[in-house]
Amino acid sequence: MSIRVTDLIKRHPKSSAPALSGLCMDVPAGSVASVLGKSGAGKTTLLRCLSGLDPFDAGEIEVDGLTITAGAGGGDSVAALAGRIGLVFQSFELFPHLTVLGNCTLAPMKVRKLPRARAEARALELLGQLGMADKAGAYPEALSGGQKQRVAIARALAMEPRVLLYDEPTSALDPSLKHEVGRTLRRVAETGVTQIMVTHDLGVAREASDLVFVLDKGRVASYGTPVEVLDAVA
Amino acid sequence: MAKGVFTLLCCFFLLHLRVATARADDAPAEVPTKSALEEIRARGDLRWGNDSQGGAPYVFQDPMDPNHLIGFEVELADALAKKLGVHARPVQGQWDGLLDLLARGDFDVVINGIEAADEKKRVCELSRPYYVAAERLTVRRGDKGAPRSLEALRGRRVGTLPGSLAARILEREGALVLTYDGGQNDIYDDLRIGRTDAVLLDDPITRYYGAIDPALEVVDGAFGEIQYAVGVRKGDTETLGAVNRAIDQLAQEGTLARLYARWGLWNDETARLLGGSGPPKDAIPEALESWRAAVGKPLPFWERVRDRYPATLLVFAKGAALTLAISLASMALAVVLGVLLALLRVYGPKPLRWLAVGYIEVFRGTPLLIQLTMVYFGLPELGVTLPPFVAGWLALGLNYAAAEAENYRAGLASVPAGQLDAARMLGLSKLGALRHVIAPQAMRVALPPATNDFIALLKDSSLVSVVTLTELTKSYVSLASAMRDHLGLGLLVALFYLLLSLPFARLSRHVEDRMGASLRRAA
Repeated sequence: MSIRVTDLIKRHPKSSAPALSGLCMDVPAGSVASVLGKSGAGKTTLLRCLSGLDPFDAGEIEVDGLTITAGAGGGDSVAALAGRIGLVFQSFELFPHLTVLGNCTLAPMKVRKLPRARAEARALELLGQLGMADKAGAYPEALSGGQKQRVAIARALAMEPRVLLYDEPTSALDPSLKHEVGRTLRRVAETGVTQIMVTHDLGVAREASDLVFVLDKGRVASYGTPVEVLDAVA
Repeated sequence: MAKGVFTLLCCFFLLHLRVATARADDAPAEVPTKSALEEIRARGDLRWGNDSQGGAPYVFQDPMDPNHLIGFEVELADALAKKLGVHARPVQGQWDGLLDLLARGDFDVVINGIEAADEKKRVCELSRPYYVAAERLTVRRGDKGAPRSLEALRGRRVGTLPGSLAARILEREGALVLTYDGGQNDIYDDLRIGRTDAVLLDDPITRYYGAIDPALEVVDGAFGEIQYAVGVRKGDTETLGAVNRAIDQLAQEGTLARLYARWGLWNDETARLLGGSGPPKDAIPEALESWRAAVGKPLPFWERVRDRYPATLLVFAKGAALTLAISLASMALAVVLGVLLALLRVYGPKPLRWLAVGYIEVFRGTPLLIQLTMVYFGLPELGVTLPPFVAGWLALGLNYAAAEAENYRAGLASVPAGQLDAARMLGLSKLGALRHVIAPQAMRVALPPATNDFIALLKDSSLVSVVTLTELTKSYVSLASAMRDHLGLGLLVALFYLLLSLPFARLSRHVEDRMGASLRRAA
């Protein structure tokens, strides 16, 4: 089991109802899972807890054999998870002062202490797999939304994570590019990386995922294969 | 990280305190084992305080060669020092701050038209007087309504020097007193163009600035009498005794009489004061003559540029070097401290955050001049006597650190929060994220205002002239006064300031271009 969430509870300081109220989910290694739900259902909160950016109040998260329990501050768990979990932000958050290659080699060099040559070779390989090798010297501002997303994926993969999270991967893209996302996810899945995306987009959820979780009021309301869940919703 | 920053800050301040106290220990004024006079003899020079700014015939830069200080008090100081068996070393200060600087230990004596008045004895010892001068009233020639008596001064606008006997006489008579810090030139210029109705000043000043101007007329008669004495540090009776004996000897030998005659300053009152023999009957006031020749009739602009300005270049260059040195040193301090303050303010724990905010508000919200005065004249009260350069550097650096901190904070705030999240998700530590992701982007935003501040600092450094440092502005004001040429030399000094600031503006633009390359490439 690559990622298992048990009885996750998360309260935001200023609201009475918890954002996550005993959420449980299992995602098998190498699969692609979509997390659906209305605004306020807890999708983004789940993502920030899974990534370790935000702490949670109760329950536990098990990632690739490492268990994170409640109370671990954002700082601690993000450090513990670093390298195991990657996150592709909705707005990508590429580093504007670095080239595409620089974005993909910064962490391997500074965190993993790889020599520059090896970090660059690995980054170019990933960029090549995602069709971005020819943009290695470009700065993020010069890229289209879809290109930025692929760089953000390459940047995350350069750290060789076991789990890759996506926040609304299709929201910043042209409709014509949405199929690209599905194809990219499948390609990454072949490398054995577990992927979880939070999305509103039923199309990409249906097309790209093995599992679908529908959240409501901070817990999983239903889950199953896309066919089971989405046809029931429809 | 916050802990590290705090430790760094502590080290920084401790270091300063240690430097400060070490310096205080070195300062001769603080060492009780050796008397001040023994110090002077051991050092081999008598440091005497003066203000060369507009100081003819007392102390001023030779208008023919401004690299030299001349004046009857320069010669007096040389003669006095010789009697003490040492060399005279002039030290510059603002005239109305000379006694403060003396008390602080910046020099051993003050010789610069200090009035022998009882009230001065509260702050320093006074030697026996070495010169007596009448107060003279100067008016515009041909001005029918000009005041020509003390009574007529009531309600009139009259110019003089701040803190002088003349100023007190004018206040007593109910005149509207205008005092000038800039120098004697300005006082008479304002009279000539009608901003004031009269000028009341000591006779030597009147002779050198008022009487040589054909548009002005010196009213007959004395309007008061002033005696000049050497100021000696309070309690230093040993040096005082030595100075008094030296003045006695110089008077007896006739050295003083010859000296005053050469400067055209010999008068009956001084003859009575000094006793001894007067100057030879045929003594020629050659120093006064050459002053008249040098400044009496302004040269045409191009002749000034050709004949006079080359000699000023060295004076300006020295001033510019000091301005640049203190500006660079202060900016370095401001950058280091500014970075710490900005980091504390943005990322620090609450108490340190408040501390940073408090620091920034206090240093940004109070005048630099007050901060500098407190560091230089105030800290000695706590036993910390800093040398002029260190005091100037510290005051400028501490002040500009507040401005820099705000620039960097703006830079940090301009980086979206998601950038930190993204860096953290890649496994970078907070410090690593700051260094490799946040700081480079913040710099891009902070650099233009920081450059602006550096250029402002370059100009604000002129304030250090109040702590005896002769930087570029002080050099200009002194030269302009000595050569009676404000406009031409003003253009010259402006050129020097531009030469100092333009390279930094260019450098900053270059760095900005490099950092902003990606942005423009996208456009």
